[in-house]
Amino acid sequence: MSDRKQNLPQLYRFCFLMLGDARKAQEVFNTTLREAAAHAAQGELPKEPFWLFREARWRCLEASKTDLQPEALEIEEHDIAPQAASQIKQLEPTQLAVWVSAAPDPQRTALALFYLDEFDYLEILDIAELKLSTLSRCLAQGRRQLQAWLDAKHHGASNA
Amino acid sequence: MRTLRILRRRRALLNCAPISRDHLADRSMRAAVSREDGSDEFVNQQNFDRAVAEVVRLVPIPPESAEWFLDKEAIRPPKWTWRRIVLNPAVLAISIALLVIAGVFAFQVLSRLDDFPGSATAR
Repeated sequence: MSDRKQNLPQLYRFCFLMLGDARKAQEVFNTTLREAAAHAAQGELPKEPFWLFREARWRCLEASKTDLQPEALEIEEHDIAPQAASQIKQLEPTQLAVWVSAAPDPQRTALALFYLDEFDYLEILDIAELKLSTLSRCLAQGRRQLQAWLDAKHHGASNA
Repeated sequence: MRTLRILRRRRALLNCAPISRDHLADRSMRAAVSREDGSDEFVNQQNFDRAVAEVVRLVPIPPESAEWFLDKEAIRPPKWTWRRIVLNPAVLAISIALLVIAGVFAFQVLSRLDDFPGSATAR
């Protein structure tokens, strides 16, 4: 298995983005790898690429099933602003992870996989089992919603 | 109608445009990106994506999880041994087939050892 297909730091970051909580991410990450080690010992590792990410994804979705779910609200969307990059740089990784993890699936998976900057779009479509149109919609909407959140945060901070 | 479909697909590809140039997966993505390269909207999107990816790279990894990085061999399939190769069903089937072919060939050769030109007439 190539190192890219089992990039473990990226696998942990993926769990963290999916769950928005370091303790839960660690739990899912460790369980996924423990199971993988057990399968490897029996020579039963799946052959398809990126199966570790696929496994971790299902575990993350399972782990967050019992959490409080966000209400289905119309989330505000803004056009991407030229100053967005500087707004994002002020974010803590945990704040971003909490925001991503609050998104409904498959948007959450799409955003987490895309912003790892590890996979090309075909690989993301394969791991998340999505169609191009769905992935495109999830990412475009995600950017616009994140921009609206950044604007609200920035506006709130400047008012305070 | 076809143009509309092409434009929609191009838009979809641009929304999924990779953050790093190394991930320009296929020709259609490369074409869509090169066509849009330099437009304000696309530059904004790329800067936005790069900034988010930069924050993601800063996600700290707890030491307990980092222990797995030292033990990558634990989740690699076991190495091939001679015993595993020989017991592989495909290898086993091919070996048996070759043995049968060799047996038939040997039988044919042995049964014709006593033959000589005109042996049929002599018989």
